[in-house]
Amino acid sequence: MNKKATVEVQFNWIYATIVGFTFLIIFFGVGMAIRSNAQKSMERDVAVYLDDIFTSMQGSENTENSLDLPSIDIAFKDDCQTFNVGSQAESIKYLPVFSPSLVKKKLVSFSLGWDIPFRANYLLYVTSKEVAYVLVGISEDLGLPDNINKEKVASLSAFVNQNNYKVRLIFFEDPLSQSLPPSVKKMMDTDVTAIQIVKAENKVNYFRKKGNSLVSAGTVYYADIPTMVAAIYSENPKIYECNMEKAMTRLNLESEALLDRISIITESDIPDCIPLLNQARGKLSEIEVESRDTRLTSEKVTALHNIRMSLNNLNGELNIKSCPTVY
Amino acid sequence: MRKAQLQIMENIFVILIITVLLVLAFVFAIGMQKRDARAKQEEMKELDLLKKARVLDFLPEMQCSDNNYLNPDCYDLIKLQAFVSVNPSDHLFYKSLFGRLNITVMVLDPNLDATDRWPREWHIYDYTGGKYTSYQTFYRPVTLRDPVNMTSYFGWIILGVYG
Repeated sequence: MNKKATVEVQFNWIYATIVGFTFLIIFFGVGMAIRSNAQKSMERDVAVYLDDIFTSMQGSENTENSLDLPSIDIAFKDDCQTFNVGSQAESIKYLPVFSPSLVKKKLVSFSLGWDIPFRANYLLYVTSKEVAYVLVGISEDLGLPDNINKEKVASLSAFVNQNNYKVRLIFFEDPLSQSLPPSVKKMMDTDVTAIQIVKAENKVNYFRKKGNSLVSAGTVYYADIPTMVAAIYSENPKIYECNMEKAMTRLNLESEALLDRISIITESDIPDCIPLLNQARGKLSEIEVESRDTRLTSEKVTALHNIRMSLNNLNGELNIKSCPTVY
Repeated sequence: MRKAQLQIMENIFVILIITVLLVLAFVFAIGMQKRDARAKQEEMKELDLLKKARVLDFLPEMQCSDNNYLNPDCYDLIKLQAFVSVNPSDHLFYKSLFGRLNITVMVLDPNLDATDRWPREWHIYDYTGGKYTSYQTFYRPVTLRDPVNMTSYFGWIILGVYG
Protein backbone atom coordinates (compact mmCIF):
# COMPACT_ATOMS: atom_id res chain seq x y z
CA MET A 1 0.00 0.00 0.00
CA ASN A 2 2.88 2.33 0.80
CA LYS A 3 4.44 1.53 -2.54
CA LYS A 4 1.18 2.34 -4.34
CA ALA A 5 0.87 5.62 -2.45
CA THR A 6 4.43 6.59 -3.37
CA VAL A 7 3.81 5.83 -7.03
CA GLU A 8 0.58 7.78 -6.94
CA VAL A 9 2.17 10.88 -5.41
CA GLN A 10 5.05 10.78 -7.84
CA PHE A 11 2.68 10.35 -10.77
CA ASN A 12 0.62 13.28 -9.53
CA TRP A 13 3.66 15.55 -9.38
CA ILE A 14 4.91 14.48 -12.80
CA TYR A 15 1.45 15.01 -14.25
CA ALA A 16 1.07 18.45 -12.65
CA THR A 17 4.55 19.50 -13.81
CA ILE A 18 3.89 18.44 -17.40
CA VAL A 19 0.50 20.14 -17.52
CA GLY A 20 1.80 23.27 -15.79
CA PHE A 21 4.73 23.47 -18.17
CA THR A 22 2.38 23.08 -21.15
CA PHE A 23 0.18 25.89 -19.87
CA LEU A 24 3.22 28.11 -19.36
CA ILE A 25 4.36 27.52 -22.93
CA ILE A 26 0.86 28.28 -24.23
CA PHE A 27 0.61 31.50 -22.18
CA PHE A 28 4.07 32.57 -23.21
CA GLY A 29 3.34 31.86 -26.88
CA VAL A 30 0.02 33.70 -26.80
CA GLY A 31 1.61 36.63 -24.96
CA MET A 32 4.42 36.89 -27.51
CA ALA A 33 1.95 36.69 -30.42
CA ILE A 34 -0.25 39.42 -28.92
CA ARG A 35 2.79 41.61 -28.27
CA SER A 36 4.07 41.10 -31.81
CA ASN A 37 0.64 41.86 -33.32
CA ALA A 38 0.27 44.97 -31.18
CA GLN A 39 3.71 46.19 -32.24
CA LYS A 40 2.94 45.57 -35.94
CA SER A 41 -0.44 47.28 -35.57
CA MET A 42 1.17 50.31 -33.93
CA GLU A 43 3.82 50.48 -36.66
CA ARG A 44 1.10 50.24 -39.32
CA ASP A 45 -0.87 53.05 -37.65
CA VAL A 46 2.19 55.29 -37.38
CA ALA A 47 3.11 54.63 -41.04
CA VAL A 48 -0.39 55.58 -42.21
CA TYR A 49 -0.57 58.69 -39.97
CA LEU A 50 2.89 59.79 -41.10
CA ASP A 51 1.86 59.42 -44.73
CA ASP A 52 -1.11 61.65 -43.97
CA ILE A 53 1.13 64.15 -42.18
CA PHE A 54 3.50 64.28 -45.16
CA THR A 55 0.57 64.93 -47.50
CA SER A 56 -0.85 67.73 -45.36
CA MET A 57 2.59 69.33 -44.82
CA GLN A 58 2.33 70.59 -48.37
CA GLY A 59 -0.54 72.82 -47.39
CA SER A 60 1.23 74.29 -44.40
CA GLU A 61 4.55 75.52 -45.70
CA ASN A 62 6.74 77.44 -43.25
CA THR A 63 4.93 75.69 -40.41
CA GLU A 64 6.95 73.70 -37.91
CA ASN A 65 5.46 70.48 -36.59
CA SER A 66 6.63 67.83 -34.17
CA LEU A 67 5.54 64.32 -33.25
CA ASP A 68 6.68 62.06 -30.41
CA LEU A 69 7.76 58.56 -31.49
CA PRO A 70 7.87 56.34 -28.40
CA SER A 71 9.93 53.21 -29.14
CA ILE A 72 9.49 53.57 -32.90
CA ASP A 73 12.19 54.29 -35.46
CA ILE A 74 11.55 55.64 -38.93
CA ALA A 75 14.04 54.66 -41.61
CA PHE A 76 14.30 56.54 -44.89
CA LYS A 77 15.93 54.49 -47.61
CA ASP A 78 18.52 55.83 -50.05
CA ASP A 79 16.27 55.04 -53.04
CA CYS A 80 13.67 57.61 -51.76
CA GLN A 81 10.81 55.27 -52.68
CA THR A 82 9.68 54.23 -49.22
CA PHE A 83 10.07 54.91 -45.55
CA ASN A 84 9.92 52.13 -42.95
CA VAL A 85 8.27 52.26 -39.58
CA GLY A 86 9.65 49.14 -37.97
CA SER A 87 8.66 46.36 -40.38
CA GLN A 88 5.94 48.42 -42.14
CA ALA A 89 6.84 50.23 -45.36
CA GLU A 90 4.96 53.18 -46.80
CA SER A 91 5.51 54.65 -50.24
CA ILE A 92 6.82 58.19 -50.87
CA LYS A 93 7.39 57.69 -54.57
CA TYR A 94 6.23 61.12 -55.66
CA LEU A 95 6.86 63.13 -52.49
CA PRO A 96 10.23 64.87 -52.07
CA VAL A 97 11.10 64.19 -48.42
CA PHE A 98 14.59 65.24 -47.30
CA SER A 99 15.75 63.61 -44.10
CA PRO A 100 18.48 61.75 -42.26
CA SER A 101 18.43 57.98 -42.79
CA LEU A 102 16.99 57.33 -39.32
CA VAL A 103 14.53 59.40 -37.31
CA LYS A 104 13.71 58.49 -33.75
CA LYS A 105 12.34 59.71 -30.44
CA LYS A 106 10.83 62.98 -31.69
CA LEU A 107 10.07 63.78 -35.32
CA VAL A 108 10.19 67.43 -36.35
CA SER A 109 9.00 68.55 -39.78
CA PHE A 110 8.93 71.62 -41.96
CA SER A 111 8.09 72.40 -45.57
CA LEU A 112 8.84 75.09 -48.12
CA GLY A 113 7.34 75.81 -51.50
CA TRP A 114 9.78 75.54 -54.41
CA ASP A 115 9.21 78.38 -56.88
CA ILE A 116 10.87 78.45 -60.30
CA PRO A 117 9.41 81.13 -60.28
CA PHE A 118 5.95 79.55 -60.37
CA ARG A 119 5.14 77.08 -57.59
CA ALA A 120 6.72 73.86 -58.89
CA ASN A 121 6.51 71.67 -55.82
CA TYR A 122 6.58 71.48 -52.05
CA LEU A 123 9.81 70.28 -50.46
CA LEU A 124 9.32 68.43 -47.18
CA TYR A 125 11.98 68.33 -44.49
CA VAL A 126 11.91 65.75 -41.72
CA THR A 127 14.41 65.11 -38.95
CA SER A 128 14.64 64.23 -35.28
CA LYS A 129 15.00 66.53 -32.29
CA GLU A 130 17.86 64.22 -31.22
CA VAL A 131 19.91 65.04 -34.33
CA ALA A 132 22.30 67.92 -33.71
CA TYR A 133 22.87 70.44 -36.50
CA VAL A 134 26.09 72.25 -35.66
CA LEU A 135 26.76 75.48 -37.54
CA VAL A 136 30.51 75.94 -37.26
CA GLY A 137 31.63 79.54 -37.70
CA ILE A 138 28.27 80.45 -39.27
CA SER A 139 26.24 83.31 -37.83
CA GLU A 140 23.19 83.11 -40.13
CA ASP A 141 20.32 80.62 -39.81
CA LEU A 142 20.53 79.36 -43.43
CA GLY A 143 16.74 79.18 -43.63
CA LEU A 144 16.61 76.40 -41.03
CA PRO A 145 13.49 76.33 -38.82
CA ASP A 146 13.58 76.85 -35.05
CA ASN A 147 12.16 73.43 -34.19
CA ILE A 148 15.35 71.54 -35.00
CA ASN A 149 18.22 71.01 -32.60
CA LYS A 150 20.66 73.55 -34.05
CA GLU A 151 23.70 74.95 -32.32
CA LYS A 152 26.09 77.68 -33.43
CA VAL A 153 29.73 77.35 -32.43
CA ALA A 154 32.69 79.55 -33.26
CA SER A 155 34.95 76.54 -33.83
CA LEU A 156 34.49 72.77 -34.04
CA SER A 157 36.49 72.17 -30.85
CA ALA A 158 33.87 74.13 -28.90
CA PHE A 159 31.14 71.59 -29.70
CA VAL A 160 30.25 68.90 -27.15
CA ASN A 161 27.74 66.25 -28.15
CA GLN A 162 24.84 66.16 -25.66
CA ASN A 163 23.89 62.52 -26.19
CA ASN A 164 22.48 63.12 -29.67
CA TYR A 165 22.36 59.93 -31.76
CA LYS A 166 23.40 61.78 -34.95
CA VAL A 167 25.46 64.89 -35.59
CA ARG A 168 25.45 66.99 -38.78
CA LEU A 169 28.30 69.52 -38.93
CA ILE A 170 27.76 72.49 -41.24
CA PHE A 171 30.66 74.60 -42.50
CA PHE A 172 31.34 77.39 -44.91
CA GLU A 173 35.08 76.62 -44.65
CA ASP A 174 36.76 73.36 -45.66
CA PRO A 175 36.09 70.91 -42.78
CA LEU A 176 38.97 68.61 -43.71
CA SER A 177 41.40 71.01 -42.08
CA GLN A 178 39.62 70.72 -38.72
CA SER A 179 39.91 67.92 -36.21
CA LEU A 180 36.86 66.37 -34.62
CA PRO A 181 36.18 67.04 -30.92
CA PRO A 182 36.45 64.04 -28.55
CA SER A 183 32.68 63.71 -28.03
CA VAL A 184 32.23 63.33 -31.79
CA LYS A 185 35.28 61.07 -32.29
CA LYS A 186 33.79 58.39 -30.06
CA MET A 187 30.52 58.30 -32.06
CA MET A 188 29.97 55.68 -34.75
CA ASP A 189 31.14 56.65 -38.24
CA THR A 190 27.62 56.36 -39.68
CA ASP A 191 26.25 58.81 -37.12
CA VAL A 192 28.47 61.76 -37.98
CA THR A 193 28.24 63.65 -41.26
CA ALA A 194 29.32 67.07 -42.41
CA ILE A 195 28.57 69.45 -45.23
CA GLN A 196 30.38 72.45 -46.62
CA ILE A 197 28.17 75.09 -48.27
CA VAL A 198 29.98 76.93 -51.05
CA LYS A 199 27.58 79.81 -51.73
CA ALA A 200 29.62 81.26 -54.59
CA GLU A 201 29.18 78.05 -56.58
CA ASN A 202 25.73 77.01 -55.26
CA LYS A 203 27.41 73.83 -54.16
CA VAL A 204 27.24 71.57 -51.13
CA ASN A 205 30.11 69.17 -50.43
CA TYR A 206 29.26 66.16 -48.28
CA PHE A 207 31.63 64.48 -45.84
CA ARG A 208 31.36 61.42 -43.65
CA LYS A 209 33.29 60.32 -40.61
CA LYS A 210 35.97 57.69 -41.03
CA GLY A 211 37.80 56.88 -37.84
CA ASN A 212 38.83 60.17 -36.25
CA SER A 213 38.56 62.36 -39.32
CA LEU A 214 36.23 63.33 -42.16
CA VAL A 215 36.42 62.09 -45.75
CA SER A 216 34.71 63.41 -48.84
CA ALA A 217 31.35 61.81 -49.72
CA GLY A 218 30.11 63.66 -52.80
CA THR A 219 28.91 67.01 -54.10
CA VAL A 220 25.48 68.34 -55.03
CA TYR A 221 24.21 71.64 -56.37
CA TYR A 222 21.35 73.72 -55.07
CA ALA A 223 19.26 76.33 -56.83
CA ASP A 224 17.92 78.45 -53.96
CA ILE A 225 17.14 78.49 -50.23
CA PRO A 226 14.62 75.59 -50.28
CA THR A 227 17.06 73.34 -52.12
CA MET A 228 19.94 74.40 -49.87
CA VAL A 229 17.84 73.47 -46.84
CA ALA A 230 17.09 70.18 -48.60
CA ALA A 231 20.83 69.51 -48.90
CA ILE A 232 21.31 70.29 -45.20
CA TYR A 233 18.58 67.85 -44.15
CA SER A 234 19.62 65.06 -46.54
CA GLU A 235 21.78 62.38 -44.95
CA ASN A 236 23.85 61.96 -48.11
CA PRO A 237 24.00 63.12 -51.74
CA LYS A 238 21.90 60.15 -52.87
CA ILE A 239 18.89 61.12 -50.78
CA TYR A 240 19.17 64.74 -51.99
CA GLU A 241 19.52 63.79 -55.65
CA CYS A 242 16.73 61.24 -55.85
CA ASN A 243 14.29 63.56 -54.07
CA MET A 244 15.28 66.47 -56.31
CA GLU A 245 14.56 64.18 -59.27
CA LYS A 246 10.97 63.91 -58.05
CA ALA A 247 10.78 67.71 -57.79
CA MET A 248 12.26 68.16 -61.28
CA THR A 249 9.81 65.63 -62.76
CA ARG A 250 6.91 67.64 -61.43
CA LEU A 251 8.54 70.88 -62.65
CA ASN A 252 8.73 69.39 -66.14
CA LEU A 253 5.07 68.35 -66.14
CA GLU A 254 3.96 71.71 -64.80
CA SER A 255 5.96 73.67 -67.32
CA GLU A 256 4.31 71.58 -70.06
CA ALA A 257 0.88 72.44 -68.70
CA LEU A 258 1.77 76.13 -68.38
CA LEU A 259 3.03 76.16 -71.98
CA ASP A 260 -0.35 74.80 -73.11
CA ARG A 261 -2.01 77.45 -70.98
CA ILE A 262 -0.06 80.25 -72.63
CA SER A 263 -0.94 78.84 -76.07
CA ILE A 264 -4.64 78.92 -75.17
CA ILE A 265 -4.38 82.46 -73.78
CA THR A 266 -2.61 83.77 -76.91
CA GLU A 267 -5.64 82.65 -78.98
CA SER A 268 -7.69 85.29 -77.16
CA ASP A 269 -8.22 88.82 -78.41
CA ILE A 270 -5.57 90.57 -76.29
CA PRO A 271 -3.11 92.03 -78.85
CA ASP A 272 -1.25 94.18 -76.30
CA CYS A 273 -0.34 91.10 -74.30
CA ILE A 274 0.74 88.75 -77.09
CA PRO A 275 4.42 89.89 -77.42
CA LEU A 276 5.03 89.50 -73.67
CA LEU A 277 3.18 86.19 -73.58
CA ASN A 278 5.29 84.90 -76.46
CA GLN A 279 8.44 85.85 -74.56
CA ALA A 280 7.08 84.05 -71.51
CA ARG A 281 6.31 81.02 -73.67
CA GLY A 282 9.95 80.98 -74.73
CA LYS A 283 11.12 81.01 -71.11
CA LEU A 284 8.69 78.23 -70.16
CA SER A 285 10.01 76.16 -73.07
CA GLU A 286 13.50 76.60 -71.70
CA ILE A 287 12.35 75.38 -68.27
CA GLU A 288 10.63 72.41 -69.89
CA VAL A 289 13.82 71.50 -71.75
CA GLU A 290 16.07 72.01 -68.70
CA SER A 291 13.84 69.88 -66.49
CA ARG A 292 13.72 66.91 -68.89
CA ASP A 293 17.00 65.72 -67.41
CA THR A 294 16.07 65.57 -63.75
CA ARG A 295 19.62 65.83 -62.36
CA LEU A 296 20.49 69.21 -60.87
CA THR A 297 23.93 70.17 -62.21
CA SER A 298 25.94 73.37 -61.85
CA GLU A 299 25.02 74.51 -65.38
CA LYS A 300 21.35 73.72 -64.83
CA VAL A 301 21.29 75.72 -61.59
CA THR A 302 22.69 78.76 -63.42
CA ALA A 303 20.26 78.31 -66.31
CA LEU A 304 17.24 77.94 -64.02
CA HIS A 305 18.31 81.00 -62.04
CA ASN A 306 18.48 83.12 -65.21
CA ILE A 307 15.17 81.83 -66.53
CA ARG A 308 13.54 82.44 -63.16
CA MET A 309 14.67 86.08 -63.11
CA SER A 310 13.47 86.66 -66.70
CA LEU A 311 10.11 84.99 -66.12
CA ASN A 312 9.64 86.93 -62.91
CA ASN A 313 10.21 90.22 -64.75
CA LEU A 314 7.90 89.19 -67.59
CA ASN A 315 5.16 88.25 -65.11
CA GLY A 316 5.54 91.65 -63.46
CA GLU A 317 5.21 93.41 -66.80
CA LEU A 318 2.13 91.35 -67.71
CA ASN A 319 0.60 92.29 -64.38
CA ILE A 320 1.26 95.99 -64.95
CA LYS A 321 -0.41 95.81 -68.36
CA SER A 322 -3.44 93.96 -66.83
CA CYS A 323 -2.68 90.96 -69.00
CA PRO A 324 -3.22 87.36 -67.88
CA THR A 325 -0.06 86.44 -65.99
CA VAL A 326 2.02 83.32 -66.37
CA TYR A 327 1.65 82.50 -62.67
CA MET B 1 -6.71 2.12 -4.65
CA ARG B 2 -10.13 3.55 -5.23
CA LYS B 3 -9.13 6.63 -3.30
CA ALA B 4 -6.09 6.98 -5.51
CA GLN B 5 -8.18 6.67 -8.64
CA LEU B 6 -10.59 9.29 -7.35
CA GLN B 7 -7.64 11.59 -6.61
CA ILE B 8 -6.32 11.25 -10.14
CA MET B 9 -9.76 11.81 -11.63
CA GLU B 10 -10.15 14.92 -9.49
CA ASN B 11 -6.87 16.31 -10.82
CA ILE B 12 -7.85 15.57 -14.39
CA PHE B 13 -11.21 17.29 -14.03
CA VAL B 14 -9.67 20.36 -12.43
CA ILE B 15 -7.24 20.70 -15.31
CA LEU B 16 -9.99 20.06 -17.84
CA ILE B 17 -12.19 22.79 -16.39
CA ILE B 18 -9.29 25.23 -16.28
CA THR B 19 -8.53 24.43 -19.93
CA VAL B 20 -12.14 24.99 -20.95
CA LEU B 21 -12.19 28.34 -19.13
CA LEU B 22 -8.95 29.37 -20.78
CA VAL B 23 -10.24 28.41 -24.22
CA LEU B 24 -13.40 30.44 -23.63
CA ALA B 25 -11.33 33.43 -22.55
CA PHE B 26 -9.11 33.01 -25.60
CA VAL B 27 -12.08 32.88 -27.98
CA PHE B 28 -13.53 35.99 -26.34
CA ALA B 29 -10.19 37.85 -26.67
CA ILE B 30 -9.90 36.89 -30.37
CA GLY B 31 -13.45 38.11 -30.94
CA MET B 32 -12.63 41.46 -29.30
CA GLN B 33 -9.46 41.78 -31.38
CA LYS B 34 -11.37 41.06 -34.59
CA ARG B 35 -13.89 43.76 -33.72
CA ASP B 36 -11.09 46.23 -32.97
CA ALA B 37 -9.33 45.32 -36.22
CA ARG B 38 -12.53 45.95 -38.20
CA ALA B 39 -13.01 49.34 -36.51
CA LYS B 40 -9.37 50.21 -37.19
CA GLN B 41 -9.80 49.21 -40.84
CA GLU B 42 -12.80 51.53 -41.19
CA GLU B 43 -10.82 54.35 -39.58
CA MET B 44 -7.90 53.78 -41.97
CA LYS B 45 -10.28 53.79 -44.93
CA GLU B 46 -11.70 57.15 -43.86
CA LEU B 47 -8.21 58.52 -43.31
CA ASP B 48 -7.21 57.36 -46.77
CA LEU B 49 -10.27 59.06 -48.27
CA LEU B 50 -9.47 62.31 -46.45
CA LYS B 51 -5.88 62.09 -47.64
CA LYS B 52 -6.99 61.60 -51.24
CA ALA B 53 -9.36 64.56 -50.95
CA ARG B 54 -6.54 66.70 -49.56
CA VAL B 55 -4.40 66.09 -52.63
CA LEU B 56 -6.69 68.57 -54.38
CA ASP B 57 -5.48 71.29 -52.01
CA PHE B 58 -1.92 71.11 -53.29
CA LEU B 59 -2.25 71.24 -57.05
CA PRO B 60 -0.47 74.26 -58.53
CA GLU B 61 -1.22 72.60 -61.91
CA MET B 62 -4.87 73.65 -61.62
CA GLN B 63 -5.19 76.27 -58.87
CA CYS B 64 -5.58 79.99 -59.42
CA SER B 65 -2.30 81.78 -58.85
CA ASP B 66 -1.95 85.46 -58.03
CA ASN B 67 1.79 86.19 -58.16
CA ASN B 68 2.44 82.73 -56.76
CA TYR B 69 -0.20 82.94 -54.05
CA LEU B 70 -2.20 79.75 -54.70
CA ASN B 71 -5.86 79.75 -53.75
CA PRO B 72 -6.95 76.19 -52.85
CA ASP B 73 -10.63 77.01 -53.46
CA CYS B 74 -10.14 78.53 -56.89
CA TYR B 75 -9.33 76.75 -60.12
CA ASP B 76 -8.03 78.44 -63.26
CA LEU B 77 -10.18 77.44 -66.26
CA ILE B 78 -7.31 77.71 -68.70
CA LYS B 79 -5.02 75.70 -66.44
CA LEU B 80 -7.74 73.03 -66.27
CA GLN B 81 -7.96 72.89 -70.01
CA ALA B 82 -4.16 72.71 -70.34
CA PHE B 83 -3.88 70.08 -67.63
CA VAL B 84 -6.46 67.90 -69.39
CA SER B 85 -4.41 68.10 -72.58
CA VAL B 86 -1.34 66.85 -70.65
CA ASN B 87 -3.46 63.73 -69.97
CA PRO B 88 -2.49 63.02 -66.34
CA SER B 89 -4.17 59.60 -66.37
CA ASP B 90 -1.32 58.37 -68.57
CA HIS B 91 1.48 59.78 -66.44
CA LEU B 92 3.11 57.51 -63.86
CA PHE B 93 3.82 60.56 -61.70
CA TYR B 94 0.15 61.53 -61.44
CA LYS B 95 -0.95 57.94 -61.02
CA SER B 96 1.35 57.77 -57.98
CA LEU B 97 0.15 61.16 -56.75
CA PHE B 98 -3.60 60.62 -57.15
CA GLY B 99 -3.95 56.85 -57.02
CA ARG B 100 -7.29 55.29 -57.89
CA LEU B 101 -9.38 58.39 -58.33
CA ASN B 102 -11.76 60.03 -60.71
CA ILE B 103 -11.45 63.82 -60.77
CA THR B 104 -14.07 65.82 -62.63
CA VAL B 105 -14.65 69.55 -62.60
CA MET B 106 -18.12 70.80 -63.39
CA VAL B 107 -19.30 74.35 -63.97
CA LEU B 108 -22.47 74.92 -62.01
CA ASP B 109 -23.09 78.58 -62.62
CA PRO B 110 -26.27 78.84 -64.71
CA ASN B 111 -25.23 82.32 -65.86
CA LEU B 112 -22.19 81.12 -67.71
CA ASP B 113 -22.05 83.65 -70.49
CA ALA B 114 -19.21 82.04 -72.38
CA THR B 115 -20.72 78.62 -73.06
CA ASP B 116 -19.10 78.66 -76.46
CA ARG B 117 -15.72 79.09 -74.89
CA TRP B 118 -15.83 76.65 -71.99
CA PRO B 119 -17.20 73.12 -71.69
CA ARG B 120 -19.51 72.43 -68.75
CA GLU B 121 -17.40 69.55 -67.53
CA TRP B 122 -13.74 68.58 -67.51
CA HIS B 123 -12.70 64.99 -66.93
CA ILE B 124 -9.30 65.65 -65.42
CA TYR B 125 -8.21 62.21 -64.29
CA ASP B 126 -9.58 58.69 -64.12
CA TYR B 127 -7.64 55.67 -63.06
CA THR B 128 -9.28 52.58 -61.61
CA GLY B 129 -6.10 50.53 -61.29
CA GLY B 130 -7.93 47.39 -62.40
CA LYS B 131 -11.04 46.01 -60.70
CA TYR B 132 -12.77 47.97 -58.00
CA THR B 133 -15.34 46.90 -55.43
CA SER B 134 -16.65 50.26 -54.27
CA TYR B 135 -16.96 53.84 -55.44
CA GLN B 136 -17.48 56.89 -53.23
CA THR B 137 -18.11 60.39 -54.46
CA PHE B 138 -17.27 63.69 -52.80
CA TYR B 139 -18.43 67.08 -53.96
CA ARG B 140 -16.49 70.20 -53.20
CA PRO B 141 -17.61 73.68 -54.21
CA VAL B 142 -14.95 75.78 -55.91
CA THR B 143 -14.59 79.00 -57.82
CA LEU B 144 -13.67 78.65 -61.47
CA ARG B 145 -11.86 81.66 -62.85
CA ASP B 146 -11.32 82.79 -66.41
CA PRO B 147 -8.03 84.75 -66.23
CA VAL B 148 -8.46 86.34 -69.67
CA ASN B 149 -11.94 87.82 -69.16
CA MET B 150 -11.36 88.18 -65.39
CA THR B 151 -14.65 86.45 -64.59
CA SER B 152 -15.45 83.77 -62.03
CA TYR B 153 -18.05 81.02 -61.90
CA PHE B 154 -19.32 78.55 -59.36
CA GLY B 155 -18.42 74.94 -59.85
CA TRP B 156 -17.90 71.53 -58.26
CA ILE B 157 -14.87 69.37 -58.00
CA ILE B 158 -16.22 65.84 -58.00
CA LEU B 159 -13.83 63.38 -56.46
CA GLY B 160 -14.64 59.73 -57.06
CA VAL B 161 -12.66 57.23 -55.02
CA TYR B 162 -12.35 53.64 -56.21
CA GLY B 163 -12.16 51.05 -53.45
